[in-house]
Amino acid sequence: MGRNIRVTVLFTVLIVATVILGAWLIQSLPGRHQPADIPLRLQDALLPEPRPMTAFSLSDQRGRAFDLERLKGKWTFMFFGYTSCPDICPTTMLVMREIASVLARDPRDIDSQFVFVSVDPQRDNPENLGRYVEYFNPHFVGATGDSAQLEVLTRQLNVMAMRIEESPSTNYLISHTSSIMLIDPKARLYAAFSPPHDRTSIIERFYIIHNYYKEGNQ
Amino acid sequence: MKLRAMLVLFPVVLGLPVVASSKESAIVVQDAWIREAPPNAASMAGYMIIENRSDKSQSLVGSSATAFGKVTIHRSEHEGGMARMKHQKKVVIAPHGSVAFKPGGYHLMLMKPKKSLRAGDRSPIELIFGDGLQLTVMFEVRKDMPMKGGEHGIQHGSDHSQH
Repeated sequence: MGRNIRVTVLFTVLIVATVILGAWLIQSLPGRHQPADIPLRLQDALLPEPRPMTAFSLSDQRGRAFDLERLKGKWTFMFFGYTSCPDICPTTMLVMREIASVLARDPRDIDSQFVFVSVDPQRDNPENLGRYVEYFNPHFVGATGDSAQLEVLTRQLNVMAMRIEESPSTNYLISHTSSIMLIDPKARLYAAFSPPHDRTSIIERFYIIHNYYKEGNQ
Repeated sequence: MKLRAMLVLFPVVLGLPVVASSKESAIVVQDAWIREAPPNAASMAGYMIIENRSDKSQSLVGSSATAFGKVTIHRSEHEGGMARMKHQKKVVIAPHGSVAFKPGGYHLMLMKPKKSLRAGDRSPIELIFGDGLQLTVMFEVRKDMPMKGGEHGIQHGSDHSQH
């Protein structure tokens, strides 16, 4: 009786120790966030490890190249949508405008940019994209490209876009990933804020991320 | 009795504008607004609160407006990280219940605005209900979510009820 219990306890201790050791080994691999260090509020947003982005080639509203280089040296908030989207996109753009204005007032001078990528190149061109994004904030970037160019970027960010036909076909809608992607100054996908977007919560979490990053969690 | 009067007065007390109501006040629409969009926007969204003060359920089945090419009822949903808009054939408002049309949820999709609408403009939109009731509701163009405690007053929409 007593021996059985002892064997059971011994086995349990062994299993628990193995799991803990295994988890410790995996987490101590270089470049990984230590789960114990990740502030609780970030656990849903932060990627298990920053994902370096690779070359892509889009154009912004002024016809300039919007590529990997443009992501370096600053924090990028990136959202995918289309200008004829009446509800989700303007709602998210207003949230982005709010975040931008808070960061613009921040004395720490956090370099950041806000990018709206149109997944509707058939209807969106640099001209209407420019009028759209600059309505929300004159510094916002609007970028797009042909479907192949867009796919190079969306694939690496796990962003999906699907055309939904409603009659008549000219009025199609697009279902799209609605998270706000946060790309770090080393051009790596660092976090994703999933909807519904609450401006205060995103700003607070960004500040936690910013501090966490400065503390060497790069 | 007193409670009833209180309920009717409730929106007014809260300062929420009652923008339209049917003759028998079976349907009351409050806080009707269109979000201002970039000047070249191909579509806009209309929001409101529809209240059903009657004992039977009511359904919003259609909408039209002379200021737009087409008006449809949609609901935005987030599913597996994707945002999608689903066309709604009707929106049922339970007896003595209400349905809020708000950003990220139910909305009137206002396609092809005939002119650029700016904050402060007003634009009438027709709401068609299942029992043939039609209400013309004056929507106000605003930049963002309305602030509570704004304007007061009751405005009766023209009632084309076929009863």
